[in-house]
Amino acid sequence: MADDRLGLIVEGSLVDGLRARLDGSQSVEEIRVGQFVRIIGQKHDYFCLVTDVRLHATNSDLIADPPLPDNEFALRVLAGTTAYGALAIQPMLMLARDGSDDASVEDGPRPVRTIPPHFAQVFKADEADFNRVFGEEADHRFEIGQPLDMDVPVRLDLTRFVERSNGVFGKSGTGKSFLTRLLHCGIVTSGAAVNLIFDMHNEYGSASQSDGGRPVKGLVPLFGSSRVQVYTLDRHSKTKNDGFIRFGLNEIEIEDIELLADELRLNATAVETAALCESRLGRDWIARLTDDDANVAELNETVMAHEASISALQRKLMMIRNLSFIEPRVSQKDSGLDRLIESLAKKQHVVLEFGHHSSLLAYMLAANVITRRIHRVWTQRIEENKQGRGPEPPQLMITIEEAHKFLNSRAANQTIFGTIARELRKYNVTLLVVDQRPSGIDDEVLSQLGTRITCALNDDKDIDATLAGVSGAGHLRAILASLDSRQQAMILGHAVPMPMALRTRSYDDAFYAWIAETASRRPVTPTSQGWHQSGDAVATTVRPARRYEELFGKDD
Amino acid sequence: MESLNGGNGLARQPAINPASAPSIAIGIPVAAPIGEVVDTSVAEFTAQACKLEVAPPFGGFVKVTTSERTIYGVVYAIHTGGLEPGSRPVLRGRDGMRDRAIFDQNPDLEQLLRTEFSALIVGHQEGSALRTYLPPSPPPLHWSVMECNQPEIAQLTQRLDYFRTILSASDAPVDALLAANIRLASVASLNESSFRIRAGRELATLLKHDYPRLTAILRALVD
Repeated sequence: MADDRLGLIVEGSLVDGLRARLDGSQSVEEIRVGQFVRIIGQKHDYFCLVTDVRLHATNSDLIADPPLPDNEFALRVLAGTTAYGALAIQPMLMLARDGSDDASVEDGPRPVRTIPPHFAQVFKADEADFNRVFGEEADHRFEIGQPLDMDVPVRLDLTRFVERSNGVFGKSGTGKSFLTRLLHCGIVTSGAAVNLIFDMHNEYGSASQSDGGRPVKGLVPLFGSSRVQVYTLDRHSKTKNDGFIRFGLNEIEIEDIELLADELRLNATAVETAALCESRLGRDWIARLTDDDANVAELNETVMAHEASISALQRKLMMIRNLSFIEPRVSQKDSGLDRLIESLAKKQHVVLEFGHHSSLLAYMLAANVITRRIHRVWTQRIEENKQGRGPEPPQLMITIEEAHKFLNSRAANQTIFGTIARELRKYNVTLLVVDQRPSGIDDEVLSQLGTRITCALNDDKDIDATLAGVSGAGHLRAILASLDSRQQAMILGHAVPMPMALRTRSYDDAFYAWIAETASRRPVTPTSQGWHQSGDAVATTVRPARRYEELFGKDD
Repeated sequence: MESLNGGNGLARQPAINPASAPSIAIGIPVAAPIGEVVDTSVAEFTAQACKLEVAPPFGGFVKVTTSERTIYGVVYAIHTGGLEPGSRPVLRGRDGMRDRAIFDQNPDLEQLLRTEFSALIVGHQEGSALRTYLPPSPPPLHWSVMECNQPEIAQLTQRLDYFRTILSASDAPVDALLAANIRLASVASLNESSFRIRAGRELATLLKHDYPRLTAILRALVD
């Protein structure tokens, strides 16, 4: 036991963190920032993070006149005595020691309210400590990775994870996509929620993708098409899919145009003109404006706007009309959207591939229009459920990439994604925001994110943004800044009891095997909060698919 | 030769006669005393060496055993001079007679000179309890002073609390004394280099506010 002892607490405060003097026998080099340590107090165990490692000397003369490297005897004598290591430690959780009458013995660790006394001993955390903090293995707990210096699972509570909107951040090439895949797989396996993934680069769904020469399985090969459906916006898509999604110009609202202002290169005046057109021309305003036979003079008269600005708007809106999944008017039945929503209602996970539509314009437009529809349906169902009519819709998590385009401070107030991010779990819809520029996301939205998983980031602004709304963020900065750029991440927030730097789980054959093994062990794993009551949960996979109207009633 | 107080008592050394050594009775030979207490206090004592010029080494451990306890000291001063207070030896080397030959030519010199050594008391043992602080009463006058053997030194140096006692001595060349003591004790320990490291670290803790002094002692520990 004494061999694991790192040192003794010598000073500190709850707010500023504790300082421990490293034992002479321990090497500073063995300690990593972000390491999980346990402090044994008199009444409580404290679970803490190492936030800084320092070198100290009791005497300033030593600093001015250090022993020469060849004086091995002096080096060995002075290390750990006159010159010593110190740890800055931030206490995170406390747990009453066995035998105490404190309730936290039963309830698990709680946030710290006090600090350990002087000279409390600091130990490296072991596997039992991790299990006490992150929970034993369970259906709703998903192993997301391992701490940087130990081979012990760090588990994410998926039930809590899907309750709120979450973020996956990291600069390009740090493993955001793999992390996102892991989360999707965890959610599918546990059944904590239903995924809707706006898959801009066609990487999450059906085909095995190659990333750096390594084949990577998508969700469909892993879970089968009965659990994961792939829809596409690309009419000519060569990948196997379950449906083609298209929608009409009449579905596009002025909020979409405002969101797309940058992509369409519309200035503020043009957006106002568009708003005017919508109010004067009705729901088909884009179709009428972009109609090849449109009579500009007549339109001018109706809209009462400047001719040049109408023509300019027409030219810009043609970019939307030219998208192949957009038609002047599409009936509800033909759009494929109803089928997509039906799949979600049946707790089938949905990947929406964009095929050759790789432009941000297509991605943002489609994601916004589709999400708005889904949000309306979910809101309506929740309200009906509250009035005792119909079941509660399943918890839905929508994954969006390039999120700063949707959730920047200008767009966040207008788009449906901003609404979802702020509304939290009231309507059973949450977001998984994947982005490499978190500083571009609106502060208010950032502060509402429940769980943040952050890979390496360089930019200070991005690091600040990632930690927005987190108490004690200063201590976490050093940990975040020290992450490797590959397969390392820091997780903090609602779904984990304390922040932790970790090596993310490998998305490889071993993981595929784990999925297969878990799937055979628990073929259907609905949550009590899901769409179906626990009684008929198993039946949904056996019963033939119910029609959308059956589930939701007629939607107009 | 006749003076009971003079010289280093070459004529009266009954203890070196094995036949009269009391320990023979229990089969363990007892080493001959190396001196006799001639001045004493609870913090230090001075002994006159039994033989002229034969004193324990500077920094060595000595002990005085009474019926109640054994008192341990570290030798910090060795002095050879005239027998009478205030007397000073005069030049004797003439006509090419030098060094050892002077003593050979003047056998009475050994009766006129004496060797004394002083020791700082660093601890005492009562029963099986070894205590690294000063004894309740000083070693008695005229008691025999013995040198400690290696197992005793190894036991004494398991705890190095006595370094502080030595450091706080006012009349001793403290730094040189510590270095000498550590060198001697390390030879008696099981692992010489690890003992020196341990002793060095103890010193580093005690001298954390006096780095130049610490480095000077550490340098003296490296051969």
